[in-house]
This record gives sequence, structure tokens and C-alpha cells, in this order.
Amino acid sequence: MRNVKLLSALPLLLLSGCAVLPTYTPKPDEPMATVQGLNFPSPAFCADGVGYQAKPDKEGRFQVPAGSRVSLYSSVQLYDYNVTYSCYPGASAVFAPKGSYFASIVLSSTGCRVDLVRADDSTDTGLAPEPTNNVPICNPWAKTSKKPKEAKAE
Amino acid sequence: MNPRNIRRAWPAAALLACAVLSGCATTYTDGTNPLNLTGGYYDEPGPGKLVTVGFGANAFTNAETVRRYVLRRACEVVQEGGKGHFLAYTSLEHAAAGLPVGEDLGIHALGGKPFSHIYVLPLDEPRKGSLNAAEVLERVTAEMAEKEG
Repeated sequence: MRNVKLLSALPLLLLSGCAVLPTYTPKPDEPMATVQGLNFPSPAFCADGVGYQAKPDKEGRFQVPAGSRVSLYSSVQLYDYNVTYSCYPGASAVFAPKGSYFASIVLSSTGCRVDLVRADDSTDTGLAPEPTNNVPICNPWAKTSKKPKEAKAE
Repeated sequence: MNPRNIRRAWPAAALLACAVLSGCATTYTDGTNPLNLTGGYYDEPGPGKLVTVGFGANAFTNAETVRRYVLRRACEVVQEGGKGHFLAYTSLEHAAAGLPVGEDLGIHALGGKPFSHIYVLPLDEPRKGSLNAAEVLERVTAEMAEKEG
């Protein structure tokens, strides 16, 4: 009976178009960086070709693997009574171990993008450009041949 | 319809017409108030040493009005913090790179609704590219009063 209920929910899940991404589980002593999402809904990231759902805390902070290129994404869905707007912007960077970063969606009339900067108390603004910032190289919601466990075993 | 009913309905219709013709543009109001359904301004400390300031308006509000409202709120926030000058940035990457925009905030719109989201760095002393909060506030307030008056 329980299985029937679960099966009946499956078409709804598929029709909703939402991919359910796994949560990243860091290995012991794995270097991680902290990203604070500002105006950054439904954060997700791609590490080593596998998509993961980020789990932000109340402040919007979440952890990403450091030391290798990670693609960071957000799923933006805006709507009112007559307009629906959605975009899925991304950026990538090689995050520094224990580094702190800010990520924000920049909305404009022509599209949206991710702004990614490093927190740096030594500057006037408290921010610094992230030199490894580049376009994303992997989409967490795209189909991939790799599975999370396979990726972690590498 | 009975002519007597038309005469009775006339004042209400006239009032409604006046309300519609006077415009439903978003006014300079706190957009974080949940009872305010048409938008308004918002501000919060951060990220870093910046203050985030923004304004969201409805489709009856033009971009120039939104630009003035955002500048006005930025000036108020800077003065409330005891500072007299500020640098305005339109994105985190511009702030990190030290590329202020002056008063040209580049207002955008989604679904015909203009909005602006900027980052402000309050300053004690003027600097290249900075704005004088008192001067800008006086000017945009006068421009808004002239437009509304």
C-alpha cells in the first residue's frame, strides 16, 4: 500500500520538472569553503561532474568543496498574477579551503547572472574579486552518467 | 437603471475615477511592510562593509522615479549611519573591483515593473566617484516634489 502511494507521487514529481539532487557529504578532513548566498534561491552546485543540492543555514551560508573547480547555480522563479519569469544562472570557481565567499543573483531586463566574490576584510568594501571566477562547466540539473557514490570513490 | 440610482452612484464613480486617474504608481514607502502590496524600498547591512539598498515598483512607476527613490533611500541610510558620502555599486563584482556607478544606477524591469538593487559604501570623506548624501538627497527630493507637484 505504501509503495502504491509512492508510485502515485512519482508522475507528479516528474511532471513538476524538478530534479531531486543529492546532498554532498564531505569526506573526513576534506577542505571546504563557505558561500553565503544573497538573494540566491535554491542553490545547487556541481562538483566533479555530479550535481548536488546545497543546504543553506538560516543566514544563507552553505559549504562547497574547495581545491577543485565547482560550478554554482541558482534556480530563480518569479511570478505574479500575469508574469512568470525563470532563469538558472551559474558561475564556477576554485574555492580556497576555509575561504568565505558571497554569491548573488543579478537580475536585469535582459537576463540574469551569478556574481561571485571573495570576502576580504582588508579591502574598503570587505569584498575582493575571485580570480578563478569563470563560466560554469557543469549543470547540476543535467543528466550525468556519474552517480554521487562513484564520484566520491574517485 | 433607475435615474435616481444613477444619481446616487455618480459620486462613488467620480471618486473611483479620481483614484484611478491620480495614478497607482508605487510611492516612496517601506517595501518590507507586508501590508504594502505595491513595492517600495528596502535596505539591510552587508555584505562586507556595504549596505544593500533597493526599490521595487509596480508597472505604473517609471524608471526615473525608481532611480530617484533608490538614491533617496541610499542617502538616508548613509546619513542615519552618521556618514556624509557614499559610493554606489550595481553589483557585488563591481564593488569588489572598485567600480562605482555614480548616480547612473541602470534601472531594470521585469514584467514591466522597474526595480533597482544596489550596494552602498558609506564614507566619512569624499572620494573619487563618491556622492554627497546631503546634496543628492536635497536634489532628488526637490525633483520628486516638482514631478508630483
